[in-house]
Amino acid sequence: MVDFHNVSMAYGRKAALALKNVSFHVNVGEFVFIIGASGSGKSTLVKLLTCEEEALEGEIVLGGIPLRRIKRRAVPYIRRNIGMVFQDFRLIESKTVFENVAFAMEIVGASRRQIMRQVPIVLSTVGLRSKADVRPSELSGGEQQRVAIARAIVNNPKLLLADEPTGNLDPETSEQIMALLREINRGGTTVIVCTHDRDLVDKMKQRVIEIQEGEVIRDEEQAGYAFCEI
Amino acid sequence: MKSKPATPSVKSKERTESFMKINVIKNTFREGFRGFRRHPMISFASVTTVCLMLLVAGAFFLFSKNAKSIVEKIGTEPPVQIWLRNGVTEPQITAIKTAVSESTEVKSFTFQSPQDNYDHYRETLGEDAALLDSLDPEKLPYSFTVQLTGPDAITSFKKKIETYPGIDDIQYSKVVLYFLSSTSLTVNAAGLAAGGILLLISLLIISNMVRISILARSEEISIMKYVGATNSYIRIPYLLEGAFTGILGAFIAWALLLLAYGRIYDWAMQDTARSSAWALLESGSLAGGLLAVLLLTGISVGALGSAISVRKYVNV
Repeated sequence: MVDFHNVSMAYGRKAALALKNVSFHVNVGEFVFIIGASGSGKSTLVKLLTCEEEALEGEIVLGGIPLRRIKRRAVPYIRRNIGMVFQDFRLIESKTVFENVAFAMEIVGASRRQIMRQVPIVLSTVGLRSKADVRPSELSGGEQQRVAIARAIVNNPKLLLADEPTGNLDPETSEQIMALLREINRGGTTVIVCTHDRDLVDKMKQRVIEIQEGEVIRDEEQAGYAFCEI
Repeated sequence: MKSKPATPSVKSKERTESFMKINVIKNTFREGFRGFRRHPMISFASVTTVCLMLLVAGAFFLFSKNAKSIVEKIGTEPPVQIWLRNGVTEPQITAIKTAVSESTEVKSFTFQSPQDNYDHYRETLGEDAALLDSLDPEKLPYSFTVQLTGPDAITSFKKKIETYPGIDDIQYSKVVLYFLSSTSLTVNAAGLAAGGILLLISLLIISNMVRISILARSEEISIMKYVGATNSYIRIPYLLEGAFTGILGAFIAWALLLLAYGRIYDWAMQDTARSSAWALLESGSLAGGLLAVLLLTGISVGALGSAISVRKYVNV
């Protein structure tokens, strides 16, 4: 699903490398944590996948498409295969929960009928069917993140990319959000979560890719946050 | 078992894609209208400015249309009168007659003897014709009445003819033609200058209106980008917002101009026959052309003003 092959990246010609020779492979249907301290390069990795930035060196392949070779105008179509979830939810305050989710479908040209059918199903999946007509400000942090997840999955993307999805949430709510992401993953969607939430990573026991100062220092299956030496 | 041919599924995929395109177009127009309604005060300021600019452009259009029509009518009517000197000789008259008849600027001409002119004066004077009783018709000059091909022909025609001996004076509606051509030039220049300044102001205001609209929705735009909106999907509603401003401004300016022109027409035509060269053009004959000019200018200015901001602030 995702292939990083010797990828290096810097913001500007003279700037220090934000990523150095990063290589890893994520299979279809995998659940992967990318962990590391703030400034380690997690967000750069996300920006490369969403084509916000371009790699300085190396090759990134997403769903079989080499990102270096795609034209600027094709970027939106690449992004339609990725569902994005952010730490700050990024919901539109002037729209209701339903409209926030429907918005993502409108953009790809779905009909009113398709929207009316699909959005309630997705809202049920995230447990917010009853709050369809509520505005985001009336929801708790956890609920807002659920709306963001609903928006991310409503177009059935192949990859769900979550950048610090629990950064603004309490531990209990964070666990619920992670459980939801895991459920979506069980449905076949590849999920990549960038986080530095130690407890959650330890509890989930999934594959962990650790980045430190732009380099992959660990890639371990069913791992915890900290490296365990036997 | 035979597998199904691939064609129907390809067709249904194409159908789905074209439906999606229609939905995208519908969304784009809806967003364009929403954008226009979102900031009513800014939209109002933009429409007013565009309207003002179009009022100037429209007034300029109406004036130049009328001036052109009058100049054409006067130019082709018989305003050129050639008076010959007293004592002009027969060969001189023949030479002038030949020159006039062979001149390419001349559409038609008539020649008047002193007796013809005497009769014409008597007719013109009517009841006061007795004044001419003591006048010997032979004291009056010979003359030519010339109809030219157009108003521009006068200069070259005059230059050519006045060199012939025996000519006393060449008279034409100098004042009228000069006034119209010089006024047209002044009005054209003033109209262009005023229109140009208002055009710049309109562009500035519309691009600011769209900039505010874009900045107010920057969060929404960034989300749209992440969800996979194309550049055109994000940009076109703003261009439409500008175009709507132009269309609304154009219709208001059109209505105001026709109203004002109707008043001017009624006032100016009180003592003028419709068949006269001085008659103004009827508003009915101008309305279509005026609307087309205003709409075209309004839409162009609106869309261009938006495009300036959109290019600068919206990039996927």
